Amino acid sequence: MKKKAEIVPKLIVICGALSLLGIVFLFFIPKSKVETRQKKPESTQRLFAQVIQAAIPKIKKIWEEGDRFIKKDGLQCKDEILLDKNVGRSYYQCQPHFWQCFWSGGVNGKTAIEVEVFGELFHVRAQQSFRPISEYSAQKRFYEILKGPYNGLNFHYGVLIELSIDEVPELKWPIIMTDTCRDTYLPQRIYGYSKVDQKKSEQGFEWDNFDRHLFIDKFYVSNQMVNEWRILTNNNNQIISDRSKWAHPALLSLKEQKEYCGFWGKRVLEAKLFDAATMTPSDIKNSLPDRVARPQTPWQRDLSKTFLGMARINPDYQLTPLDCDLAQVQGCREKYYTTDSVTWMGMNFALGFFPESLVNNIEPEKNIKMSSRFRAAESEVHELGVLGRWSGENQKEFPVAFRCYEEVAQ
Amino acid sequence: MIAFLFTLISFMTLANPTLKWSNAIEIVEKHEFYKNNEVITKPENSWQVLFAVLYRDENMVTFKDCLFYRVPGIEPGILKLKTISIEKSCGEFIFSDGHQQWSGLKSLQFSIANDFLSLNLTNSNYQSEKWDIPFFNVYRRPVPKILSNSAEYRSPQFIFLNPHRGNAPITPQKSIALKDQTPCHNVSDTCEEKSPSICFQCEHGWFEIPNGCPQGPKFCGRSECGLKNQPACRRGMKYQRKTADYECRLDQSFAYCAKGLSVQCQGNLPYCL
Repeated sequence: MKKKAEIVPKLIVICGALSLLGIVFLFFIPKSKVETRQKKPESTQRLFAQVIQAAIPKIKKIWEEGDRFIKKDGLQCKDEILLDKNVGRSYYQCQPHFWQCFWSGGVNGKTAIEVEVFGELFHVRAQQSFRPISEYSAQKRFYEILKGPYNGLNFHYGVLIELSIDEVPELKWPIIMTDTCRDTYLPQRIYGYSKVDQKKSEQGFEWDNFDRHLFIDKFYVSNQMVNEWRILTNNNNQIISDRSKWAHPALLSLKEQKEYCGFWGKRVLEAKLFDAATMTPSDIKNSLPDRVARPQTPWQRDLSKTFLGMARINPDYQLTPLDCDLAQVQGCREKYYTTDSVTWMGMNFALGFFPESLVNNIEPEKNIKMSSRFRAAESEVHELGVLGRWSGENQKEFPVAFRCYEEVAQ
Repeated sequence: MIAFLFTLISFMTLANPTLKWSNAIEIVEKHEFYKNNEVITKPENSWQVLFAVLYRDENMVTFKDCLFYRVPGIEPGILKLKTISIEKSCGEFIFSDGHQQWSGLKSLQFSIANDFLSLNLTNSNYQSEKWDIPFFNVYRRPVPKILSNSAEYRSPQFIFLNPHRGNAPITPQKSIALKDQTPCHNVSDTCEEKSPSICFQCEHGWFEIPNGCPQGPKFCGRSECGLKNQPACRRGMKYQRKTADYECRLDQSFAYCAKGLSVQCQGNLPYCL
């Protein structure tokens, strides 16, 4: 009886140890593959829809961040778009000519993207369904530019494409892509216009954009963008065909600038909006500040602490590449679509670069941003709030760029 | 008419409407009593309008698909689909022949959510077929914030049109844009919105005449606000850092004119002279 009583705890210990060993053993056994794969739909339509939906993130990337696909050997589409080291990668984003080049195989040699769904590989491609633009090439296009409105659809600029799948050849899916790269939002807050005399503690002209949705172009309107407008308005004879100039700012008269922006439901940028977009607020979180700051540059409140201030006091100042990235002034290398000069709300080219046309309904005669690449770094025009007068006619010796803004109705 | 017939023929070749409905813009004429996922049993032997789906075809023409159901009773149930033009009502076609029909149904359930439609059809052999339809074009306007863009604020980034077969060229149908000077947002002097804004349909943008309200009346076209004989420009109602009702004759600080001009009120609308 006593022996039996001694055996019971031993058995419990042995069983426990064996169970523990078993658990450890099970832990090391390779798990049999659990079938988690989604079942391939039997219906062709559903398969088509699901594969296209799976491809959309890649399509979005090609459209919005096409520049990421560019390899060291550049683009092989001389008839369509050029890769220029003086042109920033933003030019290739939401860029119909890049889209044409990509699906022609000129970017990475491929004309389809691969999508793996249901454990199978599908090949999705854009269709060359659209009529050629003879000014560019005789090739049919992989897109068509649409100008809204279309039956209640709320877009001004759309790019119509058609997607197909090699493995489901009978169906095509037309899709409209919108231009998500072009503009940037001006947050709702109190803003100031122009310079004020800080010593006199003036507030100057103040205004606010509460209850308004304002979006400002990030870059100047380019020749390539104006070409699209020329085609849509049947002015093909005015197209600039030199592809090396497509990324350059379009040099239009003020009348044409207004027509261009109006065509897309926009307006030429206003002077007070330019100041709002470039004068960095002291406290971005406080939209109702007691006092609105009027910094002299987008990067430093006080110009004397910047290279522009140093150049004013030192006639031998040597420009560095970093200086030229912030503000392209006289002596800097020409560059387009660069983003190093970006302001607090996402707009580029606050100082330097090109003289910019600005509609001014506070002081109508001050209608141009004077700071530009045509003025030396020590010039006093390189300061926020310094405006000049422009006749409205573009001349070769004094080229004037422009950009648009849009107020989206509630 | 030809486009309508062509679209109809191309739809007929598709087995069920799930793909075209994935481009739905809106579900309308939903049966007022049937609840989501409820088996429809009453009133027996009667035809009922379940709902209608508004969607755009590849040429951006809007169509309406009416879905009718004959509730099972003595005879098995029938689901009937009829494509009609958008301005017509499904009720007018309740006894007409459908363009597609599913007969011998024992039961039917459906559910409609903001971005999803589901139908479950069971036949007399208790075999069921489920249609799950995600709406790709469902869009909720985001609250814009710093670095957001106008395209995504206005519409989805990708607008899916109707998938189609064959090589027929797509010819998107433009809607008629509103001409310059057309009123596109009617807001009264007392800030009452008389009709919602349709300014996105203006041909060349729009302009506002500020009236001291969060939203002023708007018109299609361009205006050189602030210049002589033009409406004054909007300046805002918060930069003054006070709470006030802005009436043009009492306080014009919500608007401004160019240097040298003064604000003249016409009702509550400021002009520059």
